Order: sequence, then structure tokens, then C-alpha cells
Amino acid sequence: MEQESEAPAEGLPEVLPSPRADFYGGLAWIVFGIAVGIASWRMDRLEKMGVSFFTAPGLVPGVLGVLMTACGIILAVRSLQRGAFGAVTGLPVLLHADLLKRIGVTLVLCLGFAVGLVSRVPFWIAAAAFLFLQISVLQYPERKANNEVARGLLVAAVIALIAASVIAFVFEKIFLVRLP
Amino acid sequence: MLDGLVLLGHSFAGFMAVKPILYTLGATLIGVLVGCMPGLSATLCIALLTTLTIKLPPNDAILILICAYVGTIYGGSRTAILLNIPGTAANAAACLDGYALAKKGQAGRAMGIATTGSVVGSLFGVICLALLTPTLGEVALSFGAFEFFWLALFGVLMSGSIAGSDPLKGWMMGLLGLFATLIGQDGIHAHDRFTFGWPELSGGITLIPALVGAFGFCEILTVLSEPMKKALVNSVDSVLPRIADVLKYWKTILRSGVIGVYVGILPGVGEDMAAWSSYAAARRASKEKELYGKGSIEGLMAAETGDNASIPGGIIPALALAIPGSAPSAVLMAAMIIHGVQPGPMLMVTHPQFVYDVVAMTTLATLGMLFYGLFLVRPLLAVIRIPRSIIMPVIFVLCTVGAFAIASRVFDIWLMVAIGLACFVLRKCNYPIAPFVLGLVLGDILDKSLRRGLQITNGDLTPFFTRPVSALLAAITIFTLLMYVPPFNRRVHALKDAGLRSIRGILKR
Repeated sequence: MEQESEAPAEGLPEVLPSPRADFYGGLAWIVFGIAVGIASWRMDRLEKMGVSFFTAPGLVPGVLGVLMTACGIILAVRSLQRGAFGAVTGLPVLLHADLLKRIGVTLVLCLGFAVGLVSRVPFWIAAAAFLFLQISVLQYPERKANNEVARGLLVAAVIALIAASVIAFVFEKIFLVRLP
Repeated sequence: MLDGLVLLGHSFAGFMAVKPILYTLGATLIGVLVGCMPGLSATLCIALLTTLTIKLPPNDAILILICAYVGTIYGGSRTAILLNIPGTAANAAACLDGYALAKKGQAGRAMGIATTGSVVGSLFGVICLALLTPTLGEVALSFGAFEFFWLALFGVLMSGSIAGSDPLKGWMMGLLGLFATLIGQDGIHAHDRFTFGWPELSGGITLIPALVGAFGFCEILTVLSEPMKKALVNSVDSVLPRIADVLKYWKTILRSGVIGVYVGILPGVGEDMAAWSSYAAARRASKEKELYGKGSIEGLMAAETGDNASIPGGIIPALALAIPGSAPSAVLMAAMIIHGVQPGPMLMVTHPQFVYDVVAMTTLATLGMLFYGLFLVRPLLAVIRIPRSIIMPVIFVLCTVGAFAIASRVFDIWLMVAIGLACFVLRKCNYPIAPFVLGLVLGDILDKSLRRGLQITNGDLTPFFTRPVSALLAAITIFTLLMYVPPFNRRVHALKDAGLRSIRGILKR
């Protein structure tokens, strides 16, 4: 007997960054590499402590900064050769409306939980609240289409409470791991 | 040799108790379940379990992690066969023929073949682990800063070259990982680097929160950012492996095992490459090439033998050199350090029993995998039906606990979120994540080895290129890098073709 599961939608084209996005990426690497290089050069070489130049703390990060800058230059030049400023190449991958819509709420909820709630309220309450909101939001379109929003909220609440309690119990009581 | 056998006997005897067997079954089951869920990787599973098992005795904790590792890679073949979605990256090659067999109504047979290949590959890898680790460890005792510098650089370079479709971006991620590991107090003079006055950064970027971010939060965002559709899970016939399949393809199994272990030993090259390499080699040597991609038993067997053989293969350099063969073995190595076992050349001197304990643990994990492969196929399929809208939020809560638990610092949760977000953005721009992780693991070795080497020689770089092992590693590293420079690559290929032509000419005469 066949059963239903979820799978990535077929036929979607693989979205790769455009040469223009790579060009700006290359510039970002150049800036970052130069910043690392300068910070490494200005880092204390501990000469007063008699430390040899070859074991100075900034030596390896400095070399890495130079290498990152070089790679950034190669990436930028390569993207120019591939027509970074030729025909209009569309929006960068990360600015596609579909992607932003799908990911935006998730991102806000995850950040709200990890940065806002955790360590400020008891963990199981924070986890239950996050799970309820996140599951409800993710399932909302399907629940709305099937006209079962209230049922969806109830299911999300039950799953959230059970999952949060089980996680807190297993970590804290069975494996003696401290929770935030 | 006899000492090794005695130690191995002690190890197996030590694990023949109720508790280790229960741990084996439980952890392998968790691994298989995680592997069944596309988007969740072996690296994430081991990282999360590291935090869960932090209070357990070292041997129990490492046993759980190894069982979960083996279980995850095996579990990924379920969705590859039934849904055409690899549960982990290592099972991508299994999709080609596994799914084709499932569409022909032979999903059970395909899973039986995957089980056989995984078990035989894993056992072959275990034998290599037992034989090669002490030998490699002994050789590595003569290694100095020069050799370790090249090994670390080679690992990052290889990982960057192979992971993803753009080697340049792979190397950049490797460099970023190397840089990230330099944040915090330096390992020689305890001088703060790039901490900007944040006391939390003085301890450096902790590996487990970073990995949970890179493989957990990043993966959650990636999965949720992709549109999904309902897919049908193919029905399952008998899952019992057929002896005839094993006997018919014994050469393929042996070849794939050797390739899997070899690829596993290469620093930074993971199980996915082992599966693809084994699959490609089997296809080249096959008498039934036309069946590949259309439901070839041999192809599926090769892919699953290769990826599972690479698990013990990846543990070999992690134990003997402290240079992990793959991202999951990097987390395993970090877990060993957390539990007070320092991998590296001195391991065979300080903890000789531990190496054989790992051999016994991997064998137990393989038996656990066989158990679930034979007896629990249908119940395990239920996990595939759990919607991602429930799984992913729960995984994020686990990621938060996982990031916090190692050092009980809220800062580590923020670090996990920041690294996960950065990795998501970079991944969307086609930057691979594995080289970043290898960079994080190998950065400290590279930094200390380069500076110590330069101090020993007072700034003279010559020994980095003249000591025998150093010279070999330097030659391989530089050659690998130069092969990505088009004129050099063309010249090498022209020379190779000319050489082959002259050899053929000599043979014809």
C-alpha cells in the first residue's frame, strides 16, 4: 500500500547566484580580507615579552586575510568575465519574494525564541510557546485551505506542550543536562 | 599484533553487558530515525547527542555517538529508495538505482541490498580501523609541526575542492573556518585575537554550537525555504537480503569497501564522495552498465557499501592524527576531547585500549544497524510521514539546548543562531558548508604548527619542503591546487595523453 509523505517539489529550477551576486560577494570578501589583514598587522607582536616574530599572534590570521582578499579578487574578476554587468540577471537569490515569504516568519520566531525568550522564562514554557506559534504558522495555509484552522491550533498546542515537556524532562531529569 | 588482539578481546568483553547493548540499540535507532528525515545530517545528530550524553562516562557517550553516526548514514538510504530524496548527503548515489527499483515494486529488495551493502561495508571498514589506526599512529609519532601543518592545509584544500560545485568558494569557506577558529586566545601566548573586548569570545568559537548552527539552524532554514509537495511512499516487499545478490557482486562489494575506506581516510572528504566514487568505479567495471540508473542491484550495493565503509575510514585519521576524515568524524573527535580522550599520535601511547574500544563500538553499531534493517523496516517508515512543519521547530528547540548545554552559556545560543544564519546566506550563494567546518576543526593545528615550525627554524621555510613526509604532502597539496589553474591543468592532461599514447605504442610493437 502506498503512503503519503513530503518531498521537494519536482521541476523547480536550481537557483544559483547570478554573476552579479558573485561580484558583490567577491567585493565583500575583499573588504573582509583587508580588514582581517589590517587587524592582524596592528595586533600586538609581544616583542616586549621576547616573542619571536614568527610566533606572533597575528601571523596566521594575517596570511589568511591576504588569501581571502586574493580569493575575493579572483571571484570578482571571474564574475566580470561571466557577464556580471551584462544582461539583467534578475534579483539576487536571497531577495526572491517567495523565499522571503517562506522564511521570514520562521526567522522572526526562531530569533524571538533563541534571543528573546530563552533564559528569561522557564525553558519548557518558552519552548512550548515557540513550538505552538511555529507549527501553527507553518501549517496555517494547509489548514485554512481545508477549513480546519481551529483544529490546527488545537493540534499545534497539544504537540507543543508534549514536545516541550518531553525535551525538558529527558535532558534535565534523565541525562542531567542543565537547560537555559 | 598479539597485544592488539588481546586489547580487542578486552574491548569486546567490556561491551558485552546489558547497558552497552541497550545504548547501542537506542542510539542506532535514533540515528536511523534522524537519517530517515531529509535535511537532518549525521553531523547534527552527533552534535546534539554530544550535549545529551555529556554527563555519561566516556565509553558510554562515545558508543552512543558512533551508533548514531552509523545509524544516520544507513537510515538515509530509506528515503533515498522510497522517496528519491537522500536522507543524508551520503545517500544521494543510492537514489539513482534504489528509487528505480522501488518504482518497479522492489522497494523491499532495494532496502535489503542497502542493508547488506551497509553492513558489509561497515564491517570491512572496522577491520581496516583495527589494522590501520595503530600503524598510522606509530608512523605519525615521527611527525612534527611541519607535517601537521601540511596535513591540516591539505584537509581544508581537499574539502574545499570536493564539497560543492565551485572549488574557489569551497576554499574561501575553508579559509573562513580557519579564521573563525583563530578568534579568542591564541594557543601559544594566550593573547586575545579579534575579541573586541568581549570576554565571551576569549574562549574562542566553541565547536559544538558552531556545528549545531551550521548543520542545524542553517538546515532548518534551508528545508523551510524550499517548497514541498506531497509524495507517495512506495510500497515495501520483503526486505530480507538475498544471499545470491551478495555472492554475485562480491568483487563490487570488496572494491567499494576499499574505495570507501580510502576516501574516508582522506582528510575532509566525506561519506557522500565515498558513495559516488564507489558507484562510479562499479559502473566502470560492470558487465551490466546499461542497468545503472534504471534499478541496478550492483550500483545500489556499491553506493551503500562505499558510504558505510567510509565511516570507520573517517575515524582512522581522527584517532591517529587528530585530523578528521569527514564533518561527522570531526564532531566525534570533538566529543572525545570533551570526554578527556585526546586523539592524535600519542593516543596509542596514552590510551591504547581506547582505539580498540572504538573498533568494538563500531562493530556493535553495525550489528544494531543490521537488526533494524531486518526487523523494523515498516515501523520506521512512519517517521517519513511526520510533516516538516512539526519536525523542524522541534529540531530548532533541540539545537538551542544543544548549543547551550556544553558550557551553560547563553552566548553559545546566540553564536549558534549567528553562524546558522550566516551559513544559510552563504549556502544560498552556493558556498559549501563542509570546508568551513573542517577549517574550524583544523585551524588550531594549522596555526600552532606553522608558528612552531617557523620558530624551530627561525623563520626558514625550507624544512616545510625538504623533510620527506612534508615534501610529499607539500607536493600533493600544491599539485592539487595547481590542477585548478587552467593552463597547468591542460599541460598535465596533454602530458598524460602523450604518455598513454607512447605506452600504447610500445605495447603494440
